[in-house]
Amino acid sequence: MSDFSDSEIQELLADFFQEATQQGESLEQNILALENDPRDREAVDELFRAAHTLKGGAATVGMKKLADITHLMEDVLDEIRSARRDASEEVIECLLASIDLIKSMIENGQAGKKFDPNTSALEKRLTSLKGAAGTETKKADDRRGASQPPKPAKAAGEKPVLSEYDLLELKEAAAGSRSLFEISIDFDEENLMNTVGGIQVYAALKRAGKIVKTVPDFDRLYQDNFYPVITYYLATDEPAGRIEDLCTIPEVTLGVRVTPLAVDADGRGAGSPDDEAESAGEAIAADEESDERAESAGEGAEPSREASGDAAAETERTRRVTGSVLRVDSRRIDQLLNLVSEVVINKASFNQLIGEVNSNFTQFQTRQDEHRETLKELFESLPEYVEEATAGKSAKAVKKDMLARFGNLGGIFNQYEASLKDTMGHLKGITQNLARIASELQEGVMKIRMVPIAQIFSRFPRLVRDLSKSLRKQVKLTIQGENTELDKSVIEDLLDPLIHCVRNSIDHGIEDPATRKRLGKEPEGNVVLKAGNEGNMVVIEISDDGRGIDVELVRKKAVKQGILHESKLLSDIEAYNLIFEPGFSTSSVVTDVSGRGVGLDVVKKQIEKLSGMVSVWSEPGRGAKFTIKLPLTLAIIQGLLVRVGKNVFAIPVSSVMETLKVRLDDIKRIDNYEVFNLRDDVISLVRLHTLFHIESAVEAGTQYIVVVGSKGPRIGILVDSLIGEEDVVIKPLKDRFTKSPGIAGASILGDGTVSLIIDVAQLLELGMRIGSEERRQREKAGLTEKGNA
Amino acid sequence: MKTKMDFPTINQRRPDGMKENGKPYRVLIVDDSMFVTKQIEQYLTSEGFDVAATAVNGQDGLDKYKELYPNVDLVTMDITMPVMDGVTALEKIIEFDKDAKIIMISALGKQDLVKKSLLLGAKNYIVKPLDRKRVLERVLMTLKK
Repeated sequence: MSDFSDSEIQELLADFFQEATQQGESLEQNILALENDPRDREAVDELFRAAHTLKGGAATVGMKKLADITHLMEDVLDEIRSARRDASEEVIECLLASIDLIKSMIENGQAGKKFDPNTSALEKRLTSLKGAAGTETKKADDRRGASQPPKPAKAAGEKPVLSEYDLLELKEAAAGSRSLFEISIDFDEENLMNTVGGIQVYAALKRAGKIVKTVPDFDRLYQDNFYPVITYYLATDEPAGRIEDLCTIPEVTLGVRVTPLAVDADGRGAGSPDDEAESAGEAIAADEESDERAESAGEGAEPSREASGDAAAETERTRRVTGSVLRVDSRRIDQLLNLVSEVVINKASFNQLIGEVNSNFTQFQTRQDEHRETLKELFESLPEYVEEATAGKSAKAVKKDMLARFGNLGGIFNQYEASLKDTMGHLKGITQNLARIASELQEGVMKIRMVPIAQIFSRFPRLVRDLSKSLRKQVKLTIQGENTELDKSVIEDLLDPLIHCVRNSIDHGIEDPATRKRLGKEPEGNVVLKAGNEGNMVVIEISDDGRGIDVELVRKKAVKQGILHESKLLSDIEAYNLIFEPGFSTSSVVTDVSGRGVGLDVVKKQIEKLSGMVSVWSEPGRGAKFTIKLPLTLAIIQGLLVRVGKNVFAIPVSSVMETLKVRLDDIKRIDNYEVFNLRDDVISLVRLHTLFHIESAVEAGTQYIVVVGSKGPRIGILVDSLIGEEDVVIKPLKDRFTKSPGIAGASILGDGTVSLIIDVAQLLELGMRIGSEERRQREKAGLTEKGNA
Repeated sequence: MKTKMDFPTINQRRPDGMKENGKPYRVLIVDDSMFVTKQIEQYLTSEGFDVAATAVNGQDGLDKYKELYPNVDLVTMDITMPVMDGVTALEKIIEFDKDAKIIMISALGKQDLVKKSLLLGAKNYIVKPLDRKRVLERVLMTLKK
């Protein structure tokens, strides 16, 4: 992990890490699949492919340790693939351990951190696995050697059948060389040292280029076995004739067949066809190769199709650390482009409109001039008419004359008015169009940020597996609705709360197999992770069929910990939700997994930070269900704008229940609380200006109350006036010193003023805390009074 | 002045031990057995090779090679020798001159050491017992390739 500073390779690195993360994930998923079904061939192929690609990438970017580990993994996988080894529990554990290390290497590398783990222990573990298999194979070979003596005659035509992966690897290894040759050599068994020939040719070929592979492999050549035919794969710049020459050793080799293999698709390395015998060989090779393709199509086509399906499903798979990179389905970009072209057309319409307005204006000027002229004429001719009238002309006649001459005065602007109306109509149309495009654009850009929740759901199979193992429980995880999309920023912050909930379910919910059997349940517990859309919200449910939540225990504990007043009566649902209180844990045993005091309150806080809600439901003995509701996106909300003093606040419309107009004397006091009546309910009131220490403009007369809350508690917010609804773009308040409770962020309004956005959940909490604080103080005061008395 | 050109060369075969320029190939023989050394020397000189030096063990061979260098074209190296074995000597000579042409002389049953040598850079090997034809053939093959 050295040359990381080179800016030129930064881009390459970013690509690598993104890909590597995917491969890491694929490795993990497929190992779990393999664990469930050790004969899952597809999983093994996929594993092998991922490990292979990762190895190549790691070597390219110079992460040697990563490359080494993946190489060892690849070897073990290869043995599983070729059925030389079973996917035993030991193997799976070892592979999972390797993946963990690989993942942390990738993550650290991605974050640009120096990370130099000690990989030797794991390497040893992997090597020992491999070694064990190696001796087995050797034994098998020996047995074969004993029972059937090698038959050179038959073996002469034998040629190893290369799998797709092998070929891929060969080509990769040969990259940079002019050609890749397959060299099949028949060895003379009569030679006194007939087992040396393989190595002798190897040594000779090594001088001519790079030997990327031998069949049988090098280790076996090095052992004291005789192989009648050995095939070498050589990447070299030398011509075929020279290679043949090098391999022809009197008394050692009987026959040499050199076949060029295409190095890559563009034919850069296709062997030199200067030799006639050569091209004949090539033709045969081509035939054979196509046969191999046909053969491998069965296994090859399947995973690749799956891979492309994966790619579609994971239109976006950036990790937390990558952050800045977002993969987007190209169709979404196309849609945006389409909208942008509409904007351009719209702009042209506006240009046209300007022309229209201009011509309107000229028309107006002409009409105005005409009007002015006529008026002038009228005024000038007035004395004339007066004279005529004084001369005895009847008023009627004078009026008739005047009308004949100036009668059009009133209608001068008629035509202008008509064309102005036209223009207005156009303007309206274009503006409406623009509004539509703008909102579609907004939606489109938002959609770019939407990613499937599968991105984090995919981590759970492993988590559940490890957890249930360490707790000695049997848990089956079912995932539903993993294609549900959520805003990227939400997804990123959702992982921890979800992990917390799932842990809680497995640790506290699911009973151990023995208990479950006794209770008449299946020994295997169920945990369901489910996501779905509900209106503008995404709902995520984590449910289990474990022991559920003991309401009485919760109540007792809450009273004991001072969260709940003894006399307070609670509905079951309210009691369940007490478990989200800070410091609450019903588990008397602190396990390694959860119940360490850092409880579900963290979950609640995190979810509320995402403007979401979390609740829990339970049926004792039958299970519990956590429900998390989240807004689809965070960046833009509909806000109700209210004024307090000189300040404008935005309250998310989603949490506004209603607004009402009150006179100040409608507000009553109960103890120290300000409350008001809403139909049959009494609702407590928070004055924004006292909460935020602002001067209120209105002290008397009527004021407005915004009732906020969701299903649970409600609270009234007293404001000076209501302004209206507007889409507001939330900008986080970055400076942590100015961050104050009850404020979710800020927004710039259409007229340029800054408005703060109210965090309703925090406000509710704040209001309640103030309440309980006051009550506690009052009770204390009451007690001391009693004590004094 | 052009005397050399004047001689007819048609029927005179150039001995195998001579280069095209008429000078002989120079060979260093490393073997702890006097008998084998003599044997090889005899085969080679009969074909016009020049045995530049003989050495009795690996260390001796290495020293002589360095001494002769670059006036040495080929080394025959016994594998089992006292003081320093042939494989080690081979390794050190290759280290000193990576283009050194070395033929290993091995007894039967030393396949593993032969393989090791070949991978370390030995150009060829000859299995004892030696015979004239095979020795000359291998030596020439090694020199020509």
